[in-house]
Amino acid sequence: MGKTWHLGPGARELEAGVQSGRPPSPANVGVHSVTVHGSDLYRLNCQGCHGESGEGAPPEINSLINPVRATAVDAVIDRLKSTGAEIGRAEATKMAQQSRDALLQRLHDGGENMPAFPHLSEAEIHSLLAYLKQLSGIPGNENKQMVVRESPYRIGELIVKSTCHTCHSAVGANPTSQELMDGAIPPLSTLLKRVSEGELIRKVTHGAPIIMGTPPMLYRGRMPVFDYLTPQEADDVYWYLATYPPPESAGHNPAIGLSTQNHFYSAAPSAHASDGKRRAIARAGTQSLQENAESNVRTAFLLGALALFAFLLLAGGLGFTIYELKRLSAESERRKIVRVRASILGFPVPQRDPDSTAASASRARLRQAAR
Amino acid sequence: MTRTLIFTFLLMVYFSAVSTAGTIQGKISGASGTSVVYVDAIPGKDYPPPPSQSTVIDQRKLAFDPHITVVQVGTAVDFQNDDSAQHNVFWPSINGNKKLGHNLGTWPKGEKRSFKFDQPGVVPLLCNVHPEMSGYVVVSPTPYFAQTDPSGAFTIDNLPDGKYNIVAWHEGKKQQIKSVNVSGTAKVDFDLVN
Repeated sequence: MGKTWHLGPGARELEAGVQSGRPPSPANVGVHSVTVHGSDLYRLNCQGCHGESGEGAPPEINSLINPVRATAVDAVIDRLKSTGAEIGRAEATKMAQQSRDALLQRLHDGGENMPAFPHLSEAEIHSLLAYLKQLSGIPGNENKQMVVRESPYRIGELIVKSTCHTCHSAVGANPTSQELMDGAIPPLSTLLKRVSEGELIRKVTHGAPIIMGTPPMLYRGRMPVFDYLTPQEADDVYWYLATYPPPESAGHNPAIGLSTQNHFYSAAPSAHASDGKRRAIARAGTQSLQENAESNVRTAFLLGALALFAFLLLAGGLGFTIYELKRLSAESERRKIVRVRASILGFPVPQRDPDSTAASASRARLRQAAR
Repeated sequence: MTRTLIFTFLLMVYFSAVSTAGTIQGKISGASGTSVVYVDAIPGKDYPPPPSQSTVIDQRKLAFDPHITVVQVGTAVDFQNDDSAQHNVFWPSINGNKKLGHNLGTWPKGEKRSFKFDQPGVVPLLCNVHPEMSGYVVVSPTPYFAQTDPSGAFTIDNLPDGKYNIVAWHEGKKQQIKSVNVSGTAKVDFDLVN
């Protein structure tokens, strides 16, 4: 079982690597980011175990519906009312807050079988929580799923760290076919030696039989089919895995680990965080602020460029219109001169439409009548 | 510690010396599963103090374990979380009195929180995170209590002779009180209706 989810680089790191040309570029390198909603984040992070409905498969996989409902004050009050007990709003609010903290703690630390999700950003958690509430039937959350922009690497990272890592270890030896027969699951770092890009996409989204055992025979694969993932998302997994084995430092680099922790703890400050951890979080906080500032500068630059482009386009259009107007009026002037000259020289001149003269006469009459 | 033990021992010797130990036996019908029977408080009578050691209720596999716990008033109960999920423990009331409702908080695996029950009555335990969880602490005003076996039979031992009110409680049933004169062995049966 792959429980070493601390291994594996963060998407941000990879994007930086792409710029310096280190890891291989994905085929979709032209796509800089995709827009995801809370429902997508649920699909990428949670659905693999908890299913589309969120009910899981008890007793092994707990339902997430009730722990999410417990975070909503009205749901807490309603639930107690249905059992005949009553509770004040203040007390219900306190309990809902406790349940919310517990839910976020669970998300951050994982459980006995649940992977930990310390790598989720604050925006991702907010968007995901809104969808979880919607899924749990708490009214008023339909329009609260914040839109998050993600890089293809990030999509790959999310799927690998939540779904793939549940069964696949991060690193290890490439198992032989006999070892596969004995139940070995190939580690993520060897996957790309075993399958091509197309094969991985097919295996993930549609399933594929595998050859196992001696003598080699075709078996139906053991891996679940993730038909709710798009081929593009499976491709993102491929290119994220192209960076495996992860650099030694990835899991232990305090800067990376803490900055991701900070994303979480700023959403839900933990009462159990030790002093050292808190100091580290504070340090990471400034780092994250710098990151935010950087991204703000980038956004401002993009907006400026867009505005400049729009201005140039409009100015060009205006210039062209003026030019065309001038050209056309000059042309009609030239034609008038030609007509006058032709009439002087006795050439046949095309008559004006008699209707239009009649019309202008009637307009003149009308104007007179108006006076 | 040793002194407390000696004191308790002496107290027990004293009680067994001044009065012949009585026993109440009986059977509860009309309810399946565990019922609780205890001797109600009698004004002006002293009882042995509650045990200094606390009673443990586990939260395991999304359930309170044991489902029903009986303690003497003044006993501390440790609520221990043995699940990987975080659990909350609260009770909206004690014996229907909402003023005695309390939220003990929410805590993760391996941790426990303690509460000393100083008010007698039935404490319905709930977990806000998991509505499927429920449990009960029955706080008996006296040290004389028992839980029924699967057949509904119960025995309360070491009771001084005297006249007592016996309370029978079962989850979801109306509790019943019966008077009984204990001299040696007394018998009292309950038929719990809704």
